[in-house]
Amino acid sequence: MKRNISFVLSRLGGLLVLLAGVTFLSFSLMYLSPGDPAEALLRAGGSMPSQEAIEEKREEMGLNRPFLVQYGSWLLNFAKGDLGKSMIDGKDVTRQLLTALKSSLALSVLSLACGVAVALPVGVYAAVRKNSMFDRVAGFIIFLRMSMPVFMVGLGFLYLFAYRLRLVPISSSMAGAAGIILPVITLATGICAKMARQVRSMISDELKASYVDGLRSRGIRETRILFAHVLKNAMLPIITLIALSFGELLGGTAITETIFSFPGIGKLVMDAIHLRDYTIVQGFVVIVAVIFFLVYGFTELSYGLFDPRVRARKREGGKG
Amino acid sequence: MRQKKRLRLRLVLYVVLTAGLLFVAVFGEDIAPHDPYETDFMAIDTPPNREFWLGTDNLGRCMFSRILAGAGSSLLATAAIVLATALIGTALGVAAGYWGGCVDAVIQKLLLIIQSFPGQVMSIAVAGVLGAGLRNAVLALVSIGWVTYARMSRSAVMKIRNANFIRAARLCGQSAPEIILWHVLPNIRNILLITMMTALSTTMLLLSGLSFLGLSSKPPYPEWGFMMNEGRKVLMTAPWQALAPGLAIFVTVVILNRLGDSARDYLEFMRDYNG
Repeated sequence: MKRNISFVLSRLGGLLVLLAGVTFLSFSLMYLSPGDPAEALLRAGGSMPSQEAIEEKREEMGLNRPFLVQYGSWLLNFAKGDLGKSMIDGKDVTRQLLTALKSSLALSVLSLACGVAVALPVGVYAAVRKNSMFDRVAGFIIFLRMSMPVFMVGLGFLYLFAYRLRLVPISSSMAGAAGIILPVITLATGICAKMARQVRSMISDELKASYVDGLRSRGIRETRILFAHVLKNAMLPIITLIALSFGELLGGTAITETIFSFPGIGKLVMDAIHLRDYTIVQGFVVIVAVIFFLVYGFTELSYGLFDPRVRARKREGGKG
Repeated sequence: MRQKKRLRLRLVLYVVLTAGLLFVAVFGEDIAPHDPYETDFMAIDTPPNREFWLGTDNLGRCMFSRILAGAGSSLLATAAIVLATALIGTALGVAAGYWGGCVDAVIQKLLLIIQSFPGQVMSIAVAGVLGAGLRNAVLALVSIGWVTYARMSRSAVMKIRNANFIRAARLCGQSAPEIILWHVLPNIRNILLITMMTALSTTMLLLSGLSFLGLSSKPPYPEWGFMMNEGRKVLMTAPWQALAPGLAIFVTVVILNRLGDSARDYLEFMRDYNG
């Protein structure tokens, strides 16, 4: 029992150190920028600010305090849900980010669902029928998609479905619900290709395990071996893969959102970069990282739910 | 034996093709049929024809020449990123794996922190805050790319750090740098090489993505990703302007991808064959 508690505590401690590092890195990003934020803010008005005005603004923004103090107060505000004000128009950054985040989350979840729905059966079937016609064709398509940059795929879909066939509107922001179709397809094909390839190699490794030979020698049907044993054992890495892909999607929507003018967090951050509004960039980095952190953390916690081996190890005193 | 020959032939084929890419990267501007910077207002938005193989852009510049001229920055930057990430990552990974303890704990935490930023979040943020430019885009990709090598070399070194040949070297009084140089690195050389070869294509894609977002080099210098972004504005009327650089990236990535795969297959086959 005592060992268990210390295990949980050390785990939590590790997570806290990690979280501190992640937020610290996000905060430090701002200081990579070549200019002075106070000056940039004043210049955004269009006039050349005087040295005194800059100094005054620096004082007002708290930029003259020691770095760690600034980090501390920023972190405290972040914990309260306040990511600061835009350096361009002084608007609340948190609200802008959260609105855009909602759209991006919808986009990511939908793309992930579509991608997984295709990748799982394709990957499993390709592994079972290794070197068959199906495996080769699927492998070829996956290779082609993985060699294409996402913007090429997106522009291709845009040209084909929006310009030539006129099936969907060109800009997502003006299209309402239908505007999400092309971005979802674009992202889903990428995630699907990557995942199908990994699922195939996972399942084919699992099929080589000796317990599969054992089951075969006892005359268990192939379908039963696959669904009742192999898939069950491969579940854990597949769930991890899905969690990782979700993070990848959420952090990788900028290009797709730019192509389709989809009002998500990636487009928001690209617009902010062009305007040099670094508060938004900082907020974007920390929000996406924390979400990914939580999703991945919960995935790891859920292992016990799916895998009795993990449960048993935890009961033994938490090694592993 | 026949398989060995087949694998070697495939590897040679892709090495030759990659050498071709390198040739274009270095001499692109010299072999271009037109001046890639010369604007021609009589030839704006010309579709592909016999004079302009891939058409012209909105300033009448020859797309084919611009693609040849753009190969240099795209490919050399990719190579620079792969080299830099491999060097930094391996140095840190080997240090963590060999010394363990405190060094390992610090590096391990650093790895975990950087891995907490998914997808392109970090590269977009770093490149964006530093400001647009090829050098900054390279910096951004290096700052996160080393993690792969660090993780891989760390676990590879941990497997052999207590092997007998390392202990023997230690007993003979060799210093840690000597052991790392003469005994540890040769043992992880193959896996490092494979990772670098595979990283070429993914790095190329990441870099062209940053370039597409306008975070890499600025006009008038041709860069494939950025050319595609410019072509996007006239996708409706002049689709070849987006298609041509897209195909250039695609063909390059296919070759680099196949190079990585054949290098991996060959090296793995040789290991099993000799071992």
